[in-house]
Amino acid sequence: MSSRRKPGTFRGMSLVEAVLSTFLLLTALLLAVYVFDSSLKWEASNEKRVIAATLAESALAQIREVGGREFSELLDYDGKDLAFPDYPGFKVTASVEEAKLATSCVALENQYPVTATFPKPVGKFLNKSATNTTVTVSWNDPTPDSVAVSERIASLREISDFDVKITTQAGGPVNGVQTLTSGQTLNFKTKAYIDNDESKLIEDLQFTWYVEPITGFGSIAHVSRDGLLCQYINSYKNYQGQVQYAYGHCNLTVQATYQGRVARAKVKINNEK
Amino acid sequence: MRSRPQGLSLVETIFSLFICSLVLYALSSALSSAGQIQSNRPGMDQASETFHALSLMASDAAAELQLITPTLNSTSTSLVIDRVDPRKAFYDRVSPLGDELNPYENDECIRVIYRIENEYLQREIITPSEPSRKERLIGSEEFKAIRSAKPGTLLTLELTVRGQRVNKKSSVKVCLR
Repeated sequence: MSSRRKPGTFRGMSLVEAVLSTFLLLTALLLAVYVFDSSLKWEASNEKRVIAATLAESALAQIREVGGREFSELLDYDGKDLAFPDYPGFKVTASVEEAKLATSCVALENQYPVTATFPKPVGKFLNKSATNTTVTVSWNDPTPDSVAVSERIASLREISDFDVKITTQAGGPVNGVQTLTSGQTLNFKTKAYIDNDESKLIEDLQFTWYVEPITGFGSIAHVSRDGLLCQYINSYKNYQGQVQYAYGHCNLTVQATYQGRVARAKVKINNEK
Repeated sequence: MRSRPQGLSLVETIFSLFICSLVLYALSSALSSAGQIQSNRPGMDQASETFHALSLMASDAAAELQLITPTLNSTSTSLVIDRVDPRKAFYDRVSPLGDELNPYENDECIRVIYRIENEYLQREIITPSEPSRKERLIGSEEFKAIRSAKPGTLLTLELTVRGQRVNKKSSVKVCLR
């Protein structure tokens, strides 16, 4: 039997062809409608997004303002819901955690151990200077959605003056003149505080130690990388690297600079034979 | 004798009805969204304008060299700020022709005033060398600038705009330096 059609006749489409073509057309049509519908719904949610972004900015301003007064109060905002009565359909939640900021370079500081016994060096990080703050604004109408804005908020508390104090390594007072025999070492610690209140510490400050000769002098054997700890030795080395002694009195001084102000503290040392 | 047309079988009818219902459902869903958008459009436009105005005020307030009104712990119906003229480039402000050490000279600063005039929130810019100019931002019923007491440095800007049915109050907070 020949498969050729007679001229002027049309076989038409089989049921399978008809179903398949309808299916393809229908899929294309539904996809087009879905895309159109989604774009319309997305546009509808834009208003909420604009409001949410402004709310997040307001919440961050509120937290920044607290940071300008007291750093520790910033952490009270962690997990807290902030109230915005003018925007009843929105929930504003803050998340605040202390930021660990390497100074001056993450790759460099991470090579040091986190903890070590002085005078072995440790990584230098600022732990009380800034927070990682995220404000999340969420809403449920027309569909559940949220906007999150993150910012690193620094403590910008303005001070009028501050003081520096030298203590023993254990934190006890250093009373009177410290007497050291030849080659003897002594460890000191320092802290900075405001309002003449030693409990109001200034954190993350960099200290510098030096020796002021009077009738003699020793030298600084080791200083921790943040300058909080210092080891003084009753000796010094000359340019040839030979250990020498200069018996007599000197001052061991520590200095810090904060908000353009400089504070110093000193302890008198008697370098004995 | 002519044969009668055969017509559609039950299966074909159900199948075609199913396809038609799918198409109609998709179209009705899209048309309903479109209708909703159409009715919400004025509100969305107004929200965009409101938050543009609030953002502009917040950015001016955040850049203030001096906040003249409102004073500490007070509420005002105007916001008056002295700030650096944002149109001037930094290199022009430290040009040796003027005081190269001072990028905040009087002729490099502007005064910006926000207040409601003729039921519109207006931004007036006063420059030392040019006549002042006014920008009309958005039709508003009320504007309030609230400044917290020391040691706080928070400025709250509240704007009530005319809505189609009700007036809408929007606000933004700014942390001052």
